[in-house]
Amino acid sequence: MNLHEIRQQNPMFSDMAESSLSFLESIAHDVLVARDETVFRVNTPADRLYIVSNGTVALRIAGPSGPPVTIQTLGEGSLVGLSWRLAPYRWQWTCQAIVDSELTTFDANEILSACEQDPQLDADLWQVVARESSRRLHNVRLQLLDVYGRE
Amino acid sequence: MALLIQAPTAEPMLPRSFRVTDRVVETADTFTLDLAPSHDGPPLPFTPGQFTMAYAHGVGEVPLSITGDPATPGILTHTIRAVGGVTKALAELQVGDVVGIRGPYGVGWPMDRTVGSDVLIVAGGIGLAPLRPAIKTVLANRDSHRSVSIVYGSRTPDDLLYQDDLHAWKSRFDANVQVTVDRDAPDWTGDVGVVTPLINRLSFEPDTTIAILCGPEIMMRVVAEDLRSRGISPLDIYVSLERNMKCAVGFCGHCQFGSAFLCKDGPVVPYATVADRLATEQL
Repeated sequence: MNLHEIRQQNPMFSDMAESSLSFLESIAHDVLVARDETVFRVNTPADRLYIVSNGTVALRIAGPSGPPVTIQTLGEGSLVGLSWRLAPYRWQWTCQAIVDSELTTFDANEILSACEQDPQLDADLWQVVARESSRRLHNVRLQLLDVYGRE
Repeated sequence: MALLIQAPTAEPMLPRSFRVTDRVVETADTFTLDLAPSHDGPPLPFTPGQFTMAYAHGVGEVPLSITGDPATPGILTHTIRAVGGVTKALAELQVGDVVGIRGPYGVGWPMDRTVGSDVLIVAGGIGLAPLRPAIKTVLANRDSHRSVSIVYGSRTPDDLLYQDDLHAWKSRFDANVQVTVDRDAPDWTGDVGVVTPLINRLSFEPDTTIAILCGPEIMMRVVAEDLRSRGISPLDIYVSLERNMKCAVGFCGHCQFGSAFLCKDGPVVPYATVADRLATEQL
């Protein structure tokens, strides 16, 4: 799935300028991750941005005891990883594939350098990160409501 | 029990006698009863989305969604969460016990409108139960529909209803079935999170889609607004609402929701007609 297809599928990218999308496509690489393979680990440098092209990944966290807990899964068309955009540029969660998955990945340093030269790209990516952050906050609030337990 | 009559009646407040023929435990607090008319009484035809009033002898009466297959009206199926006095009394029933039934009542899902359409079914929690007859009808007539998508969200994996049905539906190649839970569990390998992101995985044309939703009202409102943002008309989105149904025939007014009596004008209504009221606090 290329970024233009992702734009059709995911409204989050719908307002992105053609030039921004083309830049992202020029630095995109596809990676395959097998089921249970770790994409990134909590508290390590957040130097990449990912989009799920195919499959599903989970954002997980673990304490000193007990198995990791999944707070959210992200499927096709989802943006994975927001921490590359903001200091301290370290992952806040561990990301693991829950099925064999294909991810499109982008070098965050390359993006941030380009953003310094291209205000449109900078604005577009802030827009994407802000929208995604807002959407996830909204969704997590709904999870916290425990609506199914109160029926 | 002797007061219960054995044949259909024009008197809407008199229950008929039904006998429990099967009892299945679905989750820790939810169970399914199959009922058959006592003394070979006539069956109770229904349309998907309708409900009955079930009387637990000596305890009281509650509205229950019909959750079985409309193609087999001889079996009246109810899936019940034991949360109050009456439903806890119903939970005690065993095969052979008798329960009083009135109905069926209400306006069900718009099954005629699903024909020739992309069908999007979104369920939350026990909301899968009233949708089950619609799902069975759509899948039994699969060729009469365009795409068929089912999205189901639950609290935990242990709270998922109809696990055999879910497995069968997921194994079909002609339906897209997505399941998610709010809370992870050690042996759960599926999705975690709310239902709305799963809609990204579905294929449908907004102009030809009929969406039917059932679950907590907050969930239905969020999903309906998400679908509206994707281009589906609020007139093509249907929700099932619950209020305090007592008479079930539009006399008592306990289930009034704005200008509608949900027992006879609902429980299924177009989202367009209730969108504002669903966002009103304490209504």
